[in-house]
Amino acid sequence: MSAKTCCAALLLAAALVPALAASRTDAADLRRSGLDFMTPALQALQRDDRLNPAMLWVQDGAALWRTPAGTAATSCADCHGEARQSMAGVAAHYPAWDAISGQPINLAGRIQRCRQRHQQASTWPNEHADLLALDAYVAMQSRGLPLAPPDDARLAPLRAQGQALWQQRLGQLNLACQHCHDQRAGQRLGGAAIPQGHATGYPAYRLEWQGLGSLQRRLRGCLVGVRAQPFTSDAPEWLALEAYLALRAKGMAVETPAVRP
Amino acid sequence: MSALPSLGRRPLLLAAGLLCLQTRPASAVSATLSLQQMVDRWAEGQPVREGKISLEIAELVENGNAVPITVRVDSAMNATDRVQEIIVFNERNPQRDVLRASFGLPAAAPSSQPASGSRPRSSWWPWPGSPTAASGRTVST
Amino acid sequence: MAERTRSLIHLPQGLLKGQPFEVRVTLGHPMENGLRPDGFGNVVPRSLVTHFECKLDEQKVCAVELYPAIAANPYLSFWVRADAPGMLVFEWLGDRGFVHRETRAIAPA
Repeated sequence: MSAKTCCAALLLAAALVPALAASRTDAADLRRSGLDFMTPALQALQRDDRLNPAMLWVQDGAALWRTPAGTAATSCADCHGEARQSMAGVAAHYPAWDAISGQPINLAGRIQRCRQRHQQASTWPNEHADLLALDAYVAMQSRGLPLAPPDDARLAPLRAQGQALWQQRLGQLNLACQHCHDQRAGQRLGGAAIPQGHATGYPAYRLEWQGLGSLQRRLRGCLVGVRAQPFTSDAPEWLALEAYLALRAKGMAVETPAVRP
Repeated sequence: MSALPSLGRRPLLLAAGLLCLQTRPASAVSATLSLQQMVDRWAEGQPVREGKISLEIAELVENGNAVPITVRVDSAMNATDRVQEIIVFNERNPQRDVLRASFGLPAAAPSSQPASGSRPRSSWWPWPGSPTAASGRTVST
Repeated sequence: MAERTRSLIHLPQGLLKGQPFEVRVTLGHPMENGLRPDGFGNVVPRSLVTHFECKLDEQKVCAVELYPAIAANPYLSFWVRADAPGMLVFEWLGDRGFVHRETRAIAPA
């Protein structure tokens, strides 16, 4: 399989990835999406919208987009019109800086803020099916476009925190993310190919969950996997990692909604 | 897994199918039967031949929670040559059955298949431990 | 809205009379097989879809018995031939009285 043959090249990529994040044309881009590490049958699931089970959620998201909500009784469509036009490219620029709250924010957080500020509706709890549905629907409008995290100095501390977490040993297994996803991508862990860990397709349908889930849920699974205490659900570490991962995957295509094992 | 292309056998095998469904207890009694016993019980003494069926399934799967499979049967799906049932058994799950599909007259063969033969095709997602262990031999009557 | 049963039905465009076409259906359902423990070690109760049927104007296209081996959000695809406009009816039945029904009118040219 191609993943094994480029294993040696990927060991070198550990040093190249920060440089790659800055400019994609410096050297041959050795970054590969998790899609490339899957068997053809699973790739077909993601590539064909008629097969992709995540489309159950996307269908809901499309309906939610047009459904009035909150005491303001407005729908997303009332302000944003057709998502296909207004949301094209939007997901590629997250995480971003939210000027009103003075904090960084991801796409799901932006949807929540919109509900609060403009619809006067309550926010959803994490991993709520409706939030995932809208998140997937909006992010899918950027499918195929290159990830373009904003060139915003205010996000620098968050990204630095994310990079530090990426390189920090965690848990009883005392492993950092980089040990698997930078240094051993393409090798196998328990029979499964280790991907490079580019978060280009979230929310994603994971076979392990038999459902759609957020990046936070996936990262939480990784922490449990190294037997670390996961961060609390509202901890800033999640967004820090997400911000760093977006920078690390800069230029790679958005794949939402992805299918992953 | 098996398919029944002969029209003449339809009444007998339909009855056999119903018999199986009515007498089979609700619990996982089928777990004690081997794959061969399941096939023999379903065939009810009719000869079981090989051929005409292909099962597409990845040899190695990343996650057994959802494994795409495709079953193709070589049949014209006309009045005299039809597939009546497609049945998928497995060897390793607590229950032997994966799926049993029966087809009526509107069921057709794919229209865009190569000239070697038109085949009805169905795709399903089975669960862990299913035909990957049992396949290697296709069965038909 | 999260509790409503969801399904996806895909029919191709441009149907022609007598020309077979592929139908793909996905049902949103956890397909809990009754063998799986939750995070606390308790077995999650069984909740399965056990039967799917597609009819074209009251005539059976296919009837499928689904067993615990079928994964969550079950997907099925099969081929149909229609010689005249009609109504495709899709029905899923399952444990605890689960029923979901969808209809799609087809008008082959």
